[in-house]
Amino acid sequence: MTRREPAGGGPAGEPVRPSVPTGVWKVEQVMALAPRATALAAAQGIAVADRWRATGCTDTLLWGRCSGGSAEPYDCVVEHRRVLVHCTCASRRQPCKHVLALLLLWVGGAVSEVEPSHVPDRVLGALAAMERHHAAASTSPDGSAAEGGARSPARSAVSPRAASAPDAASRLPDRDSDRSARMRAGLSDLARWIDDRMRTGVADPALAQYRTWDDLAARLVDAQLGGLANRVRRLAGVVGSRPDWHEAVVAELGVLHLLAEAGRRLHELSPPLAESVAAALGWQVRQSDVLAGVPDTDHWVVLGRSDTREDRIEVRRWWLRGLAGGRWAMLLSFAAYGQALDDGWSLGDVVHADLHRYPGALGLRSLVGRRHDEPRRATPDELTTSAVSITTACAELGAAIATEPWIERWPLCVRGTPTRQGDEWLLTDDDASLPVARGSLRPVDTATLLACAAGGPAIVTAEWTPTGVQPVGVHLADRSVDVGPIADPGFVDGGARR
Amino acid sequence: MTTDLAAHWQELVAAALLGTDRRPPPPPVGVLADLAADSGVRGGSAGLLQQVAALTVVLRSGLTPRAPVPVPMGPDVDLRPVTPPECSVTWSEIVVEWPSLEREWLSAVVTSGHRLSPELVAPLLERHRTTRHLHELVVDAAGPLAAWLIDWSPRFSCVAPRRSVEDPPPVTPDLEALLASPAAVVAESLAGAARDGHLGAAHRGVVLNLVQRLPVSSLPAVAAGLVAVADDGVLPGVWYPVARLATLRHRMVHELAPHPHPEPEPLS
Repeated sequence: MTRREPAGGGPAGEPVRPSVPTGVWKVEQVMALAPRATALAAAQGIAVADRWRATGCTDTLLWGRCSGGSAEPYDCVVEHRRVLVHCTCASRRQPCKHVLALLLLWVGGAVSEVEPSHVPDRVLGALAAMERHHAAASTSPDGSAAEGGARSPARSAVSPRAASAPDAASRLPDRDSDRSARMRAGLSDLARWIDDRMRTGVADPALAQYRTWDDLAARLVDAQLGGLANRVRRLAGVVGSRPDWHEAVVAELGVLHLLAEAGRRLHELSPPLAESVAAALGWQVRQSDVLAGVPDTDHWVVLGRSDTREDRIEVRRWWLRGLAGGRWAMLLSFAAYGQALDDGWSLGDVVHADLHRYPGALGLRSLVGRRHDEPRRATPDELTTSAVSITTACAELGAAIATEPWIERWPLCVRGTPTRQGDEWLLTDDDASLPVARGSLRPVDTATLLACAAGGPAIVTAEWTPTGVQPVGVHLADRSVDVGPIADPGFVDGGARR
Repeated sequence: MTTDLAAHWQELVAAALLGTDRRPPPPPVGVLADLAADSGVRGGSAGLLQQVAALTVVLRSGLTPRAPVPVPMGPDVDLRPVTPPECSVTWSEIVVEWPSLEREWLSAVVTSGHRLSPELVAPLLERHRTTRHLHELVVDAAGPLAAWLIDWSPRFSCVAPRRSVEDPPPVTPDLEALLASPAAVVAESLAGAARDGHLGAAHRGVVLNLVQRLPVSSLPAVAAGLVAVADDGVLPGVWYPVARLATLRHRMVHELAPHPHPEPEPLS
């Protein structure tokens, strides 16, 4: 589980990075080692003590014997500092599910530590074979690990980074497929189009015509780049919409350029970044694959909700934050005309559940897996824990944008007092203030926010967007008030605020 | 540096507006110059695009909050307990289904010694800006918070002229006796008349008026009786809604009864 950053934020002047796992081995590291999500899911099924005999570990080694489907049990050995793995099963992909299961047992504390002098001889023999194989693989001409036979005692040395690459690669478009070729062509087309805009100028009257953007969006859809097509259509609506529209358009063209360049180099990027880029381009990951991954289990506080209309679809976002890990998660639901949005959450509730994150560097979008308990109202302490100072929230936002520069929304939960300076609304605390995006709240919702705070600090959830910060919820001791934008109830079901 | 980058951003936007065919982009500064040097991209549309992309990310990720600002003085303290959360749900149902109950609900808030929960004050003030007697009830129920909010935003003040409030129509003589009858008698009389057809769709308004005047204690029995009639297929479109009115009215008054609701501790 990721650690929460201290409430005071990072040292002054230093950015606060998103929390990353620390320590030798945690569940996330086992997850990163898995060659694919299904292997991990299979490992979870056999990561039970009853299936294992003769287990043990030292500060470098881990071993055990798993009762498999065949008459003969499988012997597994892991040198967990250099991540050398060995299993006597017939699997051609390593680490196999038996190795992963043994690691899961170990990180769960179910493997007893023994003195180095008590390590069984067969384990030492396997270690020696692994080391010989690893040494041979390190000196091979292409640097790749040699493939053993079906029952070779020495398997490829794997590192978490190398092992995650096949897993990530399986979630990316195949580099040599027709689809990838269409995508690359579409990205080149987009890059040329943006370049033309920079040459002819954003003030070109052609950009004031919706057709200019729609034609581009249609070509992007044809190139299997639906995510970019959606962004282009949204950008079309910005032209002329407000006095500073040209700044917003120029900025978004810059972000589209970034995505086009990253997309054309997709397979050169690190796996998490590649997955993020692929998702932004419009590459879909199957829900079943997401749900097969290791969950992020926590007590999740439902801190905010917002609805937005994107083209002819209403999109609802629920913002959750883990009490133990401090990580944010976003649940999405979509509804076309006459359909229903996800209305299954209540602002201010806490639910003990497994969340499965979509692949990517930020891993914000999630699916709900198993729920371990019924939802209940968050205690005042839990709400207070979920909020940070305005300065810390800005640092968290900065870290998120640095990780995925193309994000269009990010949640903030701050303890601040709403107030007004001139005609501008702000949230302020003892050290900083944050302006609220103009026109982001209806007057009655602004007044509601003001009334709930009544001149004092309140816990406010807000959404950052490139156009500014928009409050979506305020949390009192005994209730939470939803002030987020709500879908038109005449368009979709679930468009009434509780 | 931030100020320089913010100023440079404006220059980039100006260049992008005109287009590099007309005006070359400004030379990169600071980290943008380092990026250009590393990447080898020089000037022209490609150079402008590189600067725009990089500076967009830098400025967004480097969002710096402003200095703190003075906080407003809060409203005067109101020692009345706040209406419990379930009342807010009930009010939202009243507004949608039976707005005619709103006056009684607001009065019940005041007479029960509660004050309006803060999330209801602004919507109620706005809702009744053009109905003076209800606006006054809201101000009474909200306490000092209402005046404080109106001070912040005069749009929530009342714009309706003062005029006399019409009393609701009296209960018809043949039903008047029910107002003082025990609950079981009331329920049996209404359900019986509905089932026999003596009360039908034409009497809907009369019955609604009666239900809004009955003692609260008789409402559950009345609701149950009318639901049973509707369940048997007798004018369900008439009696289900009347039963719902009875249920809602009972709930709204019961929620505001002087229960010992502990005042929640403020969030630390």
